[in-house]
Amino acid sequence: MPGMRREQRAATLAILSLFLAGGCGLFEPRDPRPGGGPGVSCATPNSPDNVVANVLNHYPELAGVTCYTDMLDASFAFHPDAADSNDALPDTVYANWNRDIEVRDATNIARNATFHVASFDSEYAARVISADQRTQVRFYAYHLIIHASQVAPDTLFRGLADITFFQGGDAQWHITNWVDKRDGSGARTWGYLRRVYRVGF
Amino acid sequence: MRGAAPTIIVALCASLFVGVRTAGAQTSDDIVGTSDTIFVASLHNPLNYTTSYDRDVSTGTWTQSLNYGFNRPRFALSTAGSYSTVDQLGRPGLGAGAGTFSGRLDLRATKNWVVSADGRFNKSSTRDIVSESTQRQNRLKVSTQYSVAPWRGVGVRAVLSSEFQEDHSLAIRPPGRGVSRILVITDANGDSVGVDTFYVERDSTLTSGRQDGLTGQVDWKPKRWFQMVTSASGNRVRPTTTSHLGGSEQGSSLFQQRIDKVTGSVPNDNLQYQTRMTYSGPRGLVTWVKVNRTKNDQAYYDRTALRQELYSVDQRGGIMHLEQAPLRGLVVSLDGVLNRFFSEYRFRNDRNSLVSTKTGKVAAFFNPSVLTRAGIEFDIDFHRNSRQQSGNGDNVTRFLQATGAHRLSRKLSLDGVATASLTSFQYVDSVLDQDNARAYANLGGGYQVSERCSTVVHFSVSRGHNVAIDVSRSNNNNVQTTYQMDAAMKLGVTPRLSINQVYLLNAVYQIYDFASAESKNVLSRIRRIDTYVADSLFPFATFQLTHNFLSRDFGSFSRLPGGEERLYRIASETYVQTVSATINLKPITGVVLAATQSLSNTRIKSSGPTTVNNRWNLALGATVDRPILGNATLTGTVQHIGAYDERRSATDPLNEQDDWIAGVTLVKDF
Repeated sequence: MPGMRREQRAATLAILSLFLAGGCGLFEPRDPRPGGGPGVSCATPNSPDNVVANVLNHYPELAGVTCYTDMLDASFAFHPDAADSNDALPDTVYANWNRDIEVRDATNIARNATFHVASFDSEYAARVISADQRTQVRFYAYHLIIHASQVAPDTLFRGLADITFFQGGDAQWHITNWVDKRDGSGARTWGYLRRVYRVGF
Repeated sequence: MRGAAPTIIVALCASLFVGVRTAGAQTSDDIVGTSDTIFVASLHNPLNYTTSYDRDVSTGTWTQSLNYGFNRPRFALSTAGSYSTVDQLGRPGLGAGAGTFSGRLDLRATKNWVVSADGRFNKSSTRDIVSESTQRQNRLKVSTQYSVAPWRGVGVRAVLSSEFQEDHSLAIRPPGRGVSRILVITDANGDSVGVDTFYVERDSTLTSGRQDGLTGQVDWKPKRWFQMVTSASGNRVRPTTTSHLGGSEQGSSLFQQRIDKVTGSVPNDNLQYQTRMTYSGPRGLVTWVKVNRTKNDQAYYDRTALRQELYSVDQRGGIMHLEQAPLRGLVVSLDGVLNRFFSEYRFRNDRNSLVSTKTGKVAAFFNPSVLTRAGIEFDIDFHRNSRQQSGNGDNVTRFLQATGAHRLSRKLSLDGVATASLTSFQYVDSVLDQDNARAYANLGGGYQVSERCSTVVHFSVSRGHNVAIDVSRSNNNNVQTTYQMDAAMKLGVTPRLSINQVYLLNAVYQIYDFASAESKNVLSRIRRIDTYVADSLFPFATFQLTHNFLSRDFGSFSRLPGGEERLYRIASETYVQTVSATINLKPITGVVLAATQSLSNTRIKSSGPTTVNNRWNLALGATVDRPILGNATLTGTVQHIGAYDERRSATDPLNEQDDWIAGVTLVKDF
């Protein structure tokens, strides 16, 4: 490349590297195996209600786990009940529970569960909606029925979930914050269920 | 540890007693033990007290902290204490508390010899309807430290320590809410004759032991361009655990006491080793390599399973960094990480795991002037999980990013960013196999007419493709493509009056891979305009008017049977408009009173009747940030939020909101 300055040559080389990396299949996903089982219906998250519907319909479901994990914002954080966190010590299993952790955890639960029902039974406090209408905090009382070998003999998980929904720059709603709390039932919480399946990540 | 401990001890003792030169100042930032710098100044820190209360919709948190310390040429003292309680609002008596008190005294007996005492006392407790639990942790550590510089450019430091440890835990559950535990029944000879289910309603545990440890560090800097720091530490504790369990047997309401005493027969050994080498070469070349090894055993009382557990970790890793500036404004860097982490439990085998990690990153940043910047980065991560009960397999991520910005003139500038990534999950249990591909590009620019008037516009497209590999999940594979325009305008009409507008246009297409799922394809569109008008009426008052407009429609985007083109059929349209007015008053310095009244109108059109909802909201608040009582400072905010839905018929719910939110902090020095 005669006549070009060294900086220009470096920039040209970098751009060529970009095209080379993008063009040689480095970012090409694998092809699925032939066939195709039953699909699930995943609502576009253009409202918090759609996000809630996707969570309840697909949380521990193998075919729909991607629909659930798509509802999580990149900044997602899960906060366990303080007593659950204390009970786990010195194991800091709840530390840095971000979106990547939640995705892998939910996938593990979905793979292990043979029966599942998730329900938000009621809202135990009024919703908090930000002035610009782009953030909502909802306070749910929930119960889950999960049949899975790794949490047996527990099958019922109950508690309270304070969930923050945020409308991001792409105008879609996602979950940014999930605070788990025990209720008075004495049942294990959603946080305990999650904890059991976080192994190796 | 058993094999390595003597080696460490011999090496460190040799370093200690070979030294003939007095220790100079440490040349490394990674100093073990007590730093020399705390003795050089005579410094008195005032007694500092901080208290704060934060209240949100569901919890109230009160935190207090107290700090005190002073430094002298011969000794240094630092103390700190803090405690916080969290109360569940509306659920009296429920909540949690945690606190810590710590103190440290360092005494410089001679120039090279430091004796230290370090105490830490922690407590945490939780209260809920079915249990009350408390954990206390007491630590008292005495250590002696010696530093020498046996040769020019060499510094050696060793710390010998002994720590007394006590852990208490207590959990109480109401009758009938006990946690079941299987107990082995023994006869008079101590032989097991069966098992029994015992419902534990009260369990208290005391674990105690003394941890003896030795830490050493060698810092070698033979040349200005090369430095090597090596540190190693080892410690051992043989804990004794006594558990008192109270509860009832299966089918019985009679409360009984059981005692379990476990004397640690296997010591808990902890060994850590770390070496870092740094080389600084010509033309901005900086490179360093760091290797480390950790082996830990930790015995603890598992409060979930109510038994003594042993957790062991074996970790080793290495990190490499290379950085050079071959041209003016250009920096090229290369990073690599290797790591192996094996964790093992004595009883909870389902949590055993071996994770091997390899990551690499190459990046170049070009910043020749304030007008231009550009960068390119390529990352690759490889994680392998093995020896787990489930989830074994590989996780590979590739990530590429290019950024650039250039100011074409004093008023006009352009910028852009593009990324591509692929995350591939390749499990032994291939049902979970999945590839997630993402691509994103954003291009835009800004035009600044004047200091008070400017606009920015960006166009972006993103594409995500989730590909589940197995047939049981692949029918949901789809491509989600988002086209978006973001724009903002800032207009300062007068020095006091300003208008800001933010625009957003967005369309999201979700197209499924398989033709059989054509009917599930959807399109969603959003238009949003936010307008803010702010006016500072007087020096003590400001006014802000906000209008938010949102239009959203949604529907199927699919081919009709026999059709070629996909058609958009709107299923639902939503319009939301919110008008809010805020006035801020500053009656005195450091105090702001605010009131916001807003009305939100939501109109939803779908196949059924159109629904309309009006929601009124009134927020009143005060913010304080000012000194009080001489040298104390009070900062905080208190806000009351009230809202309700307008009733269209007498039976409609009001959906009332009536919340107090507060956060107040008082800081005082004595």
